[in-house]
Amino acid sequence: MEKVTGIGGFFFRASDPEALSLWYRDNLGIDLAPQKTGGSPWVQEMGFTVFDPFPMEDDMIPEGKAWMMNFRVSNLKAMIDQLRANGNDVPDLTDYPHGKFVEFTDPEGNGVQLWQPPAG
Amino acid sequence: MTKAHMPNKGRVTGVGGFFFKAKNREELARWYETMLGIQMTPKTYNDSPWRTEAGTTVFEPFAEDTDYFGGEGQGWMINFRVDDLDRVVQRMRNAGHDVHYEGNGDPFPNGRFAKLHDPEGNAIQLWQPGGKDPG
Repeated sequence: MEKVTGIGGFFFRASDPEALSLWYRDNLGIDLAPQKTGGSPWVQEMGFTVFDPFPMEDDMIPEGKAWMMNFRVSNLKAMIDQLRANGNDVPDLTDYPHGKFVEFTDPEGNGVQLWQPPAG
Repeated sequence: MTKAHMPNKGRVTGVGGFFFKAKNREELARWYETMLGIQMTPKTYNDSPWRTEAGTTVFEPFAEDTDYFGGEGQGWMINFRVDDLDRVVQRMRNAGHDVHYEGNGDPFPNGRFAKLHDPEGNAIQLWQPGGKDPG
């Protein structure tokens, strides 16, 4: 069966799209959309992606929001330090059997989860 | 460009998950598995979730009043890369889904696109990379 091979884009409404794009670029290293800048797009590495519809009443997704994005990182501790150095309020990471996780919100209140998959 | 903004900084390496609210999560997850080949989330740590290939991802906030997602109620749209757009579109249409090619299916500088909605009305864009962007 012909399957989709990955996520090629994610588009969402924002009060200040430009400022939010810059926040994702400067804090998480996600390059700006090439159509606007003429630059290179963000390129993902191969990896696992958990694509999961959640119950309406679930509270993992921030209240008033309909979605949350999880990004893979190779060093979560370093990424948290980087985010805090940039002035973001980010809690300590939590260790689970399937990796290290942390959750926080972007400047417009969208949920962001970072995940350092287990080595190997 | 980006390097200059983030000297010696860490970057996220990919999308590890996407979670969204659904009225009927089981049924919707099954639809994504059946129609697009996105494996449902495993129930145990021994099984693997969907594995995505390396490639381009355009992560982009839009204006609050955009009509790009197909209506005011649409808060977001996800784009999936495909190897063969026509085959996926045909399968969707055979299953009774309303799918629209963008630009009549003609290639844009970065490939070919089609749009549809999942059974709960969430906007989906399918993209067969090509031209300037190999995906």
